[in-house]
Order: sequence, then structure tokens, then C-alpha cells
Amino acid sequence: MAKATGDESPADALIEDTLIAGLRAGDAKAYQDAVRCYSSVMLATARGMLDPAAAEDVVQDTWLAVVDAIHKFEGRSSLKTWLCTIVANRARNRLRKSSRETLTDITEWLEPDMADRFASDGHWGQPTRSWGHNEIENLFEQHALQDCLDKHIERLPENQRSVLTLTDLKQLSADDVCNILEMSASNVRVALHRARQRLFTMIEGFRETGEC
Amino acid sequence: MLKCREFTSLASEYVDGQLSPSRRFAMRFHLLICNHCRRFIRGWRQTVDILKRLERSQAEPSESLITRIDDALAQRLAERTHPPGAG
Ligand SMILES: [Zn+2]
Repeated sequence: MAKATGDESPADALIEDTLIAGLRAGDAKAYQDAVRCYSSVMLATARGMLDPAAAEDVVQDTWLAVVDAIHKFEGRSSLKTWLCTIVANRARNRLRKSSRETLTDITEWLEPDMADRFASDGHWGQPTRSWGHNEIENLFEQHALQDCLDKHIERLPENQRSVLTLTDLKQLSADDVCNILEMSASNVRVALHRARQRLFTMIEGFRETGEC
Repeated sequence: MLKCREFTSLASEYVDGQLSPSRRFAMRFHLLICNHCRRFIRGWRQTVDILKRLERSQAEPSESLITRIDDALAQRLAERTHPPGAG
């Protein structure tokens, strides 16, 4: 079965229509297929906000809720977006019950660490060391860099982590990300840029020291 | 004239093609005259490329989670077909 990704081809749409009909009919096989097709992006959505165990619970609860809710699905968004929206809502509810870090409107495009690297005249004070053409490629293959990125993604502020996961890692469309996370388009862009800066800075450190 | 600080602020919009033509031109022009930002954008592009290829290992659903969901769904679907107490 094709994995759900950003742009839906006609074939994907056909698979989706068949699946939806199966889900509506309560067909167990359709549920198994759908679980395998969409749980990855659903889990990524939940992991943007919750710890691993809580995220798994939310994905499972969402599938159970789908059994009743699928009759209310009107096809205005894709099935994937609809599922992720339910996951995000449920994850947000859990966060509200625990203590949620406040999701403030962000307007500043630079992370403090990055902003500090510029002189008062707006020019680089601490410029980045020169990058070889395939340098990061080579580092990436050693897996140590991947592990380190994983660790740092985990430490991103919640909204940055959600946006980065859905946009760069899962490559959902900008509209889908805004809808699922209930964020404005501009907040999504700023959060994405700031998340990338943190990881850029992390990779710079990794290049210097070879350590996470 | 665009400063390095603004160039860096707009780096994601630039590499993702989100800028207006005039802004885009200003970014390109800045790259022509600024060695530091040329260096920065090369590293930035590599960073974004890597992030797009990153599979977060722990974010993939485990086999046990899939089985758990299958079982829970099977039970739920059975309850719908034969609701408890409906005879
Ligand atoms: Zn510059």
C-alpha cells in the first residue's frame, strides 16, 4: 500500500476513496489497511506535542473514535488531514490537562542564539565556518548526526517541533499544517525557520567537535 | 540595502521559494556581494535537505502499536455489529 505523503496522485485518491467506503462499512480489512497507511503521520503529529507513550495512546484512541466519526467525514479535506486534525485536537486537550507551555504569537524570525551572532550594524559578527559541498552528507551517513538531530528535535519548543515534524520530516502541505495545528500561515513559517536555526546551530557544533 | 541579519531571517522563505520577486532579487544580490552569507546559505540548504530526509526512528509506529490498534479496533467493530445487550 502506498504511504501517504504530501501530494496526492489520482491513484492515491482512488485508494483513499476505496478505503473510506470500507471504513464507513465497518470493514475490518479496510481498518487494518488504513492503520498501516496513516498511523505514521498521525504519530508524528502527536509526537510534536506529547511524549512517546501519550502520543501512542492518542493515536489508538483516535482510531477507535474514527469508527463512529467516519460517518461525519465529508471529504472536505483529505482523509490524512482529517485524521491528523483529530489527533492534534486530542493531543492539545491532553496538554491543557497537564501544564501546557503557552503558545505565544511569534513574530521574531531569529532565535536568540542566532541573533547574537550579528553586530549592531546588521553584519555577521560570528560568521559560520565554510561548508564543504557534501560535508553534511558524509556526516549524515555516520548515524551519529541523525541521533543527535533526533535528540535536539525532541528538545525543541512544542510549536517548533510540531511544525518541523509535519513540514520538513513528513512534508505535509502548508495548508494542511496550518489546519492540523490551528496556527496562522505566518506563525507556521516563523516556527519552522526558528526550528531550523536551532538545528543549524546544533549541526555547526557537531561539525566542530564531532560530538552531540 | 539588505543586511546579513535580514538575509538570515529570510533564509527559509528564500530556499522554500516563498519570497516576492523583488525580495528574491535583493537576496540574490546580497549573495553576490557577501561572502559570509554565501557560506551561510550553503550550510542552510544542506541543513534543510538533511531535515527533509530525516526519518525520526522513534516517530515511526512500532509493530506492537499497530497490533494493539488492530486488536482494539477488531473488538470495537465487533461491538458495533453485535452491541452488548442487544441480544
Ligand atoms: Zn551577508
